[in-house]
Amino acid sequence: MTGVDIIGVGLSRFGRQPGVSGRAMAVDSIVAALADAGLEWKDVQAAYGGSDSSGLADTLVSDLGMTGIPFTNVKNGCATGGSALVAGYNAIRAGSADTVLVVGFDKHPRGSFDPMPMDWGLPEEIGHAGLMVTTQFFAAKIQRYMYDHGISTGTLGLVPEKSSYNGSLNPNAWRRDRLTPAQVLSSAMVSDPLTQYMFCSPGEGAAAVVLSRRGRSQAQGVIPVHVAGAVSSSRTYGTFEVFSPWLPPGDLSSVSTRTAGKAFEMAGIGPGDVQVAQLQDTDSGAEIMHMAECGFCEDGDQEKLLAERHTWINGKLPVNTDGGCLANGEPIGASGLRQIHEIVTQLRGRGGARQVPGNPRVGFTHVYGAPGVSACTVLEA
Amino acid sequence: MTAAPEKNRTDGAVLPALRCPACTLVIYPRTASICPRCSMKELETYGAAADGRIWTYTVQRFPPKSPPYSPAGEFAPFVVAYVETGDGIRIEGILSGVDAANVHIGMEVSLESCTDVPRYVPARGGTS
Repeated sequence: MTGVDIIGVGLSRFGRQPGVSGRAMAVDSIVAALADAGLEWKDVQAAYGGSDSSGLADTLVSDLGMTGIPFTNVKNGCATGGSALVAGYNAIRAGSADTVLVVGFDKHPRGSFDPMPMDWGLPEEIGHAGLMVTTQFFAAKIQRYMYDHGISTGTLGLVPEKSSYNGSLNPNAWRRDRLTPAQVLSSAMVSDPLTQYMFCSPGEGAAAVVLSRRGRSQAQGVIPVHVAGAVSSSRTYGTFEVFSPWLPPGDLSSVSTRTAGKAFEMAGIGPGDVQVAQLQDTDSGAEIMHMAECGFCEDGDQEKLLAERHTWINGKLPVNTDGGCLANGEPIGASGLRQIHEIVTQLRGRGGARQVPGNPRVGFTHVYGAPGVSACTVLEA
Repeated sequence: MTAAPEKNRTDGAVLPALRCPACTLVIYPRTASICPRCSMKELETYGAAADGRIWTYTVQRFPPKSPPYSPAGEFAPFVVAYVETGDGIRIEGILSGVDAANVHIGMEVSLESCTDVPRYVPARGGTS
């Protein structure tokens, strides 16, 4: 089977950039990724990319060069970046291209997202009544999870403490001030039990990745990272997802569980082999639940693990070492690829002040988005 | 869709739901065109009993963006709850008539109306 490597990664600046469009950020990230790969735009044979609200990725060819390559737009909510990566990976595996560029970008206005029910196949009344709000889902889901598995409110404060510390070590993060658990817990309540500092903010930024068929000779200085597994899935019956007016009976699962399992199966390894991870951290609760859903611990273990700083850079499973969505913001199209950028950076030993010690060789990324989409990758040095 | 006999729900409101004749799953809302569990396409209309206990909840503390939110007047925080009904399903609705600080998982609630979205109130005389 054809192998796929990541040979270049690039980011734009993240955070509020007045006067800079999402498209300009996208171009910055692509230029950076191509330079990292030692390539030019003319070397790219196919491209995949997406933005939730900053325009059509394929129109970027007018800024990059009209080489006539296939450029497919991807739109999968917060899973867009991961989904685009899987599409690019599959193109190489299919033999339709040897060098693929994947890009994600967004520039969101201030305030919450404002999805329209019609776009999601839901009745209009749900929007009018104020039930089309993503924060409600994350809050309601963690509320039940805490009840079922004994996670305390205090533990919700530990995730932003860790992520803000990581953000303070990341020159490209939007939020770089460290937060104490007390500051997190006492910030304004947004959607019980989640406070303002427990949530990521819709943000600005772009990320790009260059994929190559394994075995091709690369430019000098390029350190390839192998894509051992890359899977995306949509939801199945019996899961608890965003924008659900109704939930089925019985124990509920998550699309993330199934997707992570398939990625590990593809890679031929298990969660215990992972040394550095990126887990969708829409809010504290999401990161906590995704630890169990992706197989890194049992439900309820997080209470003890977080108290032991298990997910800090020096811990047994560093999670979101660049600060995640909490410190970088959530530009929907970009985040999944920002995750990839960070894992590649860590596996290459280029994390600088936030480098995970011990020479990590195996990394994992997970994104989750509405209406129940997940994409996971397993990356190996 | 064919009409099945209405469920024997006589107190309060009935939830305009669907029912799968193949696997008996009760489904809401009526925009569903296939059974999410067994993919059966011919669903029956069904008036479901939607009283039950709070399975989970949150409190919407900020005004959602408009559009699509169409508030009646000045914004006040409101409770969003998933209510577990006798059929075992969980229905998302708005709960009023109770202080947010007194809402808890397991609380008994009754469906008061469902003209736009399910609207719940604390159950009369029920144990909390």
